[in-house]
Amino acid sequence: MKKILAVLLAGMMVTSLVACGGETTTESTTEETTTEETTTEETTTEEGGETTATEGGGVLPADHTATLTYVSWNDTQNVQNQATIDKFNEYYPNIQIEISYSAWNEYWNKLEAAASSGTLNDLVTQHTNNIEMYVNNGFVEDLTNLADYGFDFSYDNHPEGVKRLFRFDDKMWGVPKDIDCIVMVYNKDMFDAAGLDYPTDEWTWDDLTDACEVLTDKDNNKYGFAFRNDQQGGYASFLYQNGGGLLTEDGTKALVDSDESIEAMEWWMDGYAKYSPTQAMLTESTMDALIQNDTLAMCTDGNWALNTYYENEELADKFDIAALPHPADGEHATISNGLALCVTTGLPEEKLEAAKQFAAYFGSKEGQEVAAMGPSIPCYDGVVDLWAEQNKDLFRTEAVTSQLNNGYGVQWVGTELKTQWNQALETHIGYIYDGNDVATELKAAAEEMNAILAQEGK
Amino acid sequence: MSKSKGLSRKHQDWLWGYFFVFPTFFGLCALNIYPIFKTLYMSFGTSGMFGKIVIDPNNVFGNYTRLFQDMEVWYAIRNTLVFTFISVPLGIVLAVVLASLMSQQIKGVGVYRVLYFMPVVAAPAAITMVWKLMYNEQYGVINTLIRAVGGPSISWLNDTRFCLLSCAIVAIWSGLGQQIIIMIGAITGVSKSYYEAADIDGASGARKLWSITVPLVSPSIFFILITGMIGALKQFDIVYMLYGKTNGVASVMNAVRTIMHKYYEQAFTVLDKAYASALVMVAFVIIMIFTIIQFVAQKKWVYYDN
Repeated sequence: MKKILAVLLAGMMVTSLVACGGETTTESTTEETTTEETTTEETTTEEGGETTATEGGGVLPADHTATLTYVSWNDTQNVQNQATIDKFNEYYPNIQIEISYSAWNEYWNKLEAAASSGTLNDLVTQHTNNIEMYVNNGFVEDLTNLADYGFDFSYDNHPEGVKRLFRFDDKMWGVPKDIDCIVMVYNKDMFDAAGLDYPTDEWTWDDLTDACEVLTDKDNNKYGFAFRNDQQGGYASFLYQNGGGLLTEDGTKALVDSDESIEAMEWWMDGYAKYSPTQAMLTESTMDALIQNDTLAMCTDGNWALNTYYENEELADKFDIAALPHPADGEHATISNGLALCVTTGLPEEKLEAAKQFAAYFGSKEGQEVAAMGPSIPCYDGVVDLWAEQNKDLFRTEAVTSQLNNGYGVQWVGTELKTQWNQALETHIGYIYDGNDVATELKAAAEEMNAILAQEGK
Repeated sequence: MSKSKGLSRKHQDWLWGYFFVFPTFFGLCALNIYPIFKTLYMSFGTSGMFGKIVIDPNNVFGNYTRLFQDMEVWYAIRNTLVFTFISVPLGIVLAVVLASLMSQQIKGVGVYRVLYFMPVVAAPAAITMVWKLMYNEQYGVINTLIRAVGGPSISWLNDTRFCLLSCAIVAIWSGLGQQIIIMIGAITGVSKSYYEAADIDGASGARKLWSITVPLVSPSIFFILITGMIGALKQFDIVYMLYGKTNGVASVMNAVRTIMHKYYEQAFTVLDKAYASALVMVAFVIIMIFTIIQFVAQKKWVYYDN
């Protein structure tokens, strides 16, 4: 009797261990394979090209059934994604799409683990930092022929800058989702207190430092501008403005050791020494907290993060944005990036069709317009103006539209081994923030980056 | 047929024994033993993406030579050792002293035990989040109190002299409860007659602690020493929670990054799993050396009844 009880107990403990180990995605895929086996007959007849186009222009029949999982790293953007999904469900009520969310810090780790073990989500938000790695290892479905799926979808309606990031071997591997840029956020109260005019979209670097001179008062814990250690949201735009950059145009060699890049970084670090909260302060407190406390007057941030400011009641009326300042003898530039929606390879037929149908809708005019409530900007041509219209009471949308519509966006590039050369670059930038000489560190970084870049494509 | 029917009682017991042990044994093999050998294998190769490993027969020790030339790895080893030497001895001394205080029959001793044990059940992520706020140079509680009595603000997290100390404080605070509970158990097992004899001889409290309690509970002290030391040498979560992947200032990261934190960076941020495997093999050897030293030294100071 005792032995039976002991065996039962042990059995319960072992099964609870095993059962907790699996992800819900694997459970749903095993359910799906049983249902898809019974319906393969029907889907194969549709593959023959009989388009039973529904109202609005999808090609699958309106009762097509599938359950898909969709993962992204931005909880706020999921509100926009959900809007697209809800409208999509008006055409295809039986295609269920479940969005899940992984915080940015862990997103790529989890995705990589999922890819290695074959449990990737069906729909994946992709980023230029990592897309090439996933494409080259066969985890991303070829979406070049997405125009076959109706909804008037065409890649021609999306900006070349974003398409370029997700095009390899002349094939498109993801549907461009949005476009973004970096803007300057400023604290209206501190400018009023100092009697200064607010920043304009035409400010130069000298205007910035002049304002910082007035605004910075370190003894009273007031700082003009956060010259923070952040590539996309911080110094990278300024390298390009001066004629330098991270990589050369063709992405094969580092550009951080050019004279223009070094000059820009030296200007940046000069500002860091004079007008900026220390990097230590910036890691301990967030920028919106510092602005809220009237400690910080200006900082740079991406437009996708503006909700941190306008959703904060204390901050909503206190901040506004402007385009990034540019050097008087240089150009406007702001790092611009775009995300894409990708479909995972290896899906069963029924799910693959559903995923592609959704992708076509997602990139269509209607799908993009429905998601324009911000903070991220759908990239379909012209939707940025709709986005500006919907967000104009929250902040000066001209700061964004003037940069994007005038082509000031510089594509933030990723390559297959970006994780490695980025680490090398970030290590040396860390030493620069420690006080080391800018030129020496950037040249050392470029050397390491070039060694890594030379290994790509082998 | 008749053979199985007539299995002796002893064989039957063995069979049941193996049957119960099997799940754990299986887990141990699959989740512990196999990964050790797989990691060793991976440490000799170079990593491709998504876990592919390629071993070049001409360059088997490439990762190891790179490791020994990488200054950040040496900093990590140094930081880990400093962290261990700060947090483990201090933790054990505090555990023994507090446990002996809490083994007495004073009023409210149950409350004290609960209070000291509570950090152990709190989630590490929650603990470090709260400590990070407390350590904040401008707004944190600790610096506010220091300024209130007229002292200078200390940058607990970003001053290279204090960052490991800050991590050690959090580590001691969160691990103390568990060590105290073990020590209380050991101390209450010491026969009262020893203390009575000492009282007759006129021994002070401290003398009793040092000459009676400590030798008699030395097996338990040895246990918490070994587990505490191994845990400190593997320290990752406190550093990761307080500093994230990096805080952007090289000197601070070089002063606080531990071996496991560097491993995490290499394996999951840079995605160079082969190099990370070599690193973790080196960490394994370091931990093993320390453990062997402790086991050899135990003959000198641990008193077992037999």
